[in-house]
Amino acid sequence: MKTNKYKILLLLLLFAGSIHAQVSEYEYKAAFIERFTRFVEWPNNIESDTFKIAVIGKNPFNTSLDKLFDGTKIKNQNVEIIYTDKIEDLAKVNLVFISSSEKKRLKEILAFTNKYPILTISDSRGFCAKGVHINMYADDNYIRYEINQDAIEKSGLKVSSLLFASAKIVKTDD
Amino acid sequence: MTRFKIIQDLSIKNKIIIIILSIIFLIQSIGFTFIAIWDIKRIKSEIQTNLVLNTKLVANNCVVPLTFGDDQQATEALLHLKNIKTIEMACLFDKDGTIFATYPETLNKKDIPIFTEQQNSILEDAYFHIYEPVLFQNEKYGTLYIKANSKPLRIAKRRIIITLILLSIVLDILAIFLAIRMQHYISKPIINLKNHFDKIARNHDFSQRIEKRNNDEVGHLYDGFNNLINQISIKQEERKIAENELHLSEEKYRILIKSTPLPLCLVDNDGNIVYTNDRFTKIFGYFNEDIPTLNDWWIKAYPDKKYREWVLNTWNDAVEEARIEGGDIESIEYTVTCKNGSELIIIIAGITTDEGVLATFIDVTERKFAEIEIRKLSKVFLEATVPTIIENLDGIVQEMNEQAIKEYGYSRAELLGRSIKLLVPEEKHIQADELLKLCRNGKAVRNIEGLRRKKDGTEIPVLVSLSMLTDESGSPIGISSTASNITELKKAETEIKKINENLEERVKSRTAELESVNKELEAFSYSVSHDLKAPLRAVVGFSQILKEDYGTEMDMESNRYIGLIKDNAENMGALINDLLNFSRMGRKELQKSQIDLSAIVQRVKSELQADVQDREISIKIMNLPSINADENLIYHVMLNLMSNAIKFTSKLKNAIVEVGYINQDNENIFYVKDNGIGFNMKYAEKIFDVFQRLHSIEEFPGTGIGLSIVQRIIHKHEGKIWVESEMNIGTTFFFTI
Repeated sequence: MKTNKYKILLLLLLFAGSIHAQVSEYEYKAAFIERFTRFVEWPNNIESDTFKIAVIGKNPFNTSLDKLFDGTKIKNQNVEIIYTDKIEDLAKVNLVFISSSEKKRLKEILAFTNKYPILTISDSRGFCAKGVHINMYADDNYIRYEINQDAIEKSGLKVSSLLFASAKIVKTDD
Repeated sequence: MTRFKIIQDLSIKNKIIIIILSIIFLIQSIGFTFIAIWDIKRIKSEIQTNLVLNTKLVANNCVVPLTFGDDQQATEALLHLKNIKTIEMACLFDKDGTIFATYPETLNKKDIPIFTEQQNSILEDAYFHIYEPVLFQNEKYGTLYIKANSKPLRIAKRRIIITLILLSIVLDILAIFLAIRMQHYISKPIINLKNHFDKIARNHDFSQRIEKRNNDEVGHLYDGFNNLINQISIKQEERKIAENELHLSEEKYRILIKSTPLPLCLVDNDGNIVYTNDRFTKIFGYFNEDIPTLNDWWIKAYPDKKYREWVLNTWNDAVEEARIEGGDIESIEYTVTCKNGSELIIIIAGITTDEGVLATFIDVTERKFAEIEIRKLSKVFLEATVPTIIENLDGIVQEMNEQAIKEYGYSRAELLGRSIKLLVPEEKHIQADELLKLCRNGKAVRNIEGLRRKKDGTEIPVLVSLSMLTDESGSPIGISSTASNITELKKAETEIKKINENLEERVKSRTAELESVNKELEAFSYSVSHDLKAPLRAVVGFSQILKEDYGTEMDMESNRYIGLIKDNAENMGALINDLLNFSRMGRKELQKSQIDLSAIVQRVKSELQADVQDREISIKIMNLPSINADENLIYHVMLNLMSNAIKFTSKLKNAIVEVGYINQDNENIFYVKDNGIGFNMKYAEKIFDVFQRLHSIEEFPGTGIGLSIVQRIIHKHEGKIWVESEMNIGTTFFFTI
């Protein structure tokens, strides 16, 4: 399969130096999260020497995130990953991955995170239209992503136009 | 400089054109080359910049696909390049140099160049090669390579070159046009000047000035030129005047020499005769052409060889002497032979000059001959057989000849200084004084009878002739007296006188005899006229009667004989009448009066009317002048001539008789002209002789006396008569009265 070859190739690209025999879907998604941060600028008022990533709800990554960010810096900062179910824990993080399990209280979570410059990422269908900034989805063996431009503009984050150019733009459902 | 020789020889006009055009071509070439290079460079960099810009844009779009390893997206990003037609190939390498995506997608990997870290864009093999790093936030994600052809550059190049060439052509045409137009401003005044110069050179007309049109250097040149021409013109005018004066002066002296009454001859040092004047030719007859050299002159003027040698030596010595001493050539007398062969005695003199000799000639021939003549005359005088004495106006003897001494017995000394009266007897002294006086008064004294007394006292009869002797001016200086001895003559005269007296008596008696004979002759004539005519009338009369009364009884032959008798008798009567007339004419005195000849001719014409009645004849009579003559005789003349004319035209159909006159040298010549049978002119004299007939009596009847009478009448009037005739053309009688 041609596409599979590419995936392997891509992984070789992404994880040069830490080659694993098997590459799972969430290992890709973890890598995608890291790539997204490259195109996003957080406001300067966050004064911290660590970049905090939170996973709310059920953790689909297993240890993929930890493995990935062990030694990998975001914006020259060490990465701290928290796994939580409490919305209050999200107050000091830079990035939140909203698990598909949080569908019911998505509104609640977003209402909280929207108060802060927190990039919200998910991989659940329809989340983006609900107000999540970036939502990943699979398409013909490729992982694609959709972006809610309105939500990002309101969040106070700056996202590179290049990212918009290669994403599917989604508007918030009212 | 020789390579510019062609340009140097060109006209100013062409030079200017060539210079202007060369400069324009040079500037144009350099300028257009710079423009072309600069423009092509600019376009190249424009194209390149454009390509780089586009590559950068596409490279930007490749950041995300590279980040996320999305080759599909990368390929899509590269597809944007298709809008740029020149891009033939593109390739996206990742940061390790591995091919990530290509354009077109199906590109053969072999065609992709090996990845290098080259950053520059280059133009190579007519292709632009552009390597653009894919950067995001200073991090390199890969490299985008683009290969584009340079077709637009080529098109731009071609467009620029064509545009510039077209522009060049237009500019060049414009430049040529302008150069040709503008060169006038420089060349035209110069060409004008040149043309003007040519014109002056051609016509030598310095009166023309060139019109100044502009104030530049050429304008100053015009001023200078005009000034120069002005100067030349003035100088020329002056020269002309001087030449004219010189010419006039030369002409004056030439005429002077030419017409001077002294023969002149100019000989150059080579012996050529360079000039002879009119008088020379007049006297000697030689023109300068006849004697081109002195040698010709010697031979012609002195044909005798010996004499010529003498002349040559004498003349050459004289010339030589004159040369040495610097004076005139000695005047020496020579005998010169003229062109017509006559000889002249000439004193030739002259002067020597640096150029040659001018010889002058003085004709002394007449003087010489006069001397000879005088010598001869004095000899005649001295040796004459008639005693001749020269005395002064008072009759004192100055000179005498031998004969005078011999004849009169006085010696010369005895006579010299004495009055001529010594030789004249006293009773003739008065006569001698009178004759002397007459002679002094200029009257001719020729052969006057006088006496001379010899020394011994005897007197001799002489015929004295006196002539005045005058000097050159005609004033009397003396008298020449000749006295021829007529003693013998006197004797003879006395004898002749005696003889003459006898002769007169004899003439008287002879005349008387002749008169009586004349009378007898007249009486005879009369009797002849009567006595001869009476029997003739009888013969005629009886022949007539015989014919009338017995003609019918006689045979033809007898009748003919009787006719012949009658005709001949009548003829004889006419002959006798004419003869009587003729003889009478000789004696008859003319009874002249002013008579109207026209009237006489008219009378004759009416008289002859009977003869022309049945004929086609035209008698033309001119209006004739009146003449002083004997009317009866002239009537006879006209009757005779006109009847002759009618007679000798009787055989013609269109007879013409014309009576008229012509005035020649103030003399009226009358004529009677006919177009009759005429005669041979060798008989022209004979025709007037008595009984001369040129035609038989049968052919033209007549007595043969008529013209003799006519001639006699004309001669009696002291006129002339003659005839002109031509056989079968006609005869004309001319006479004058």
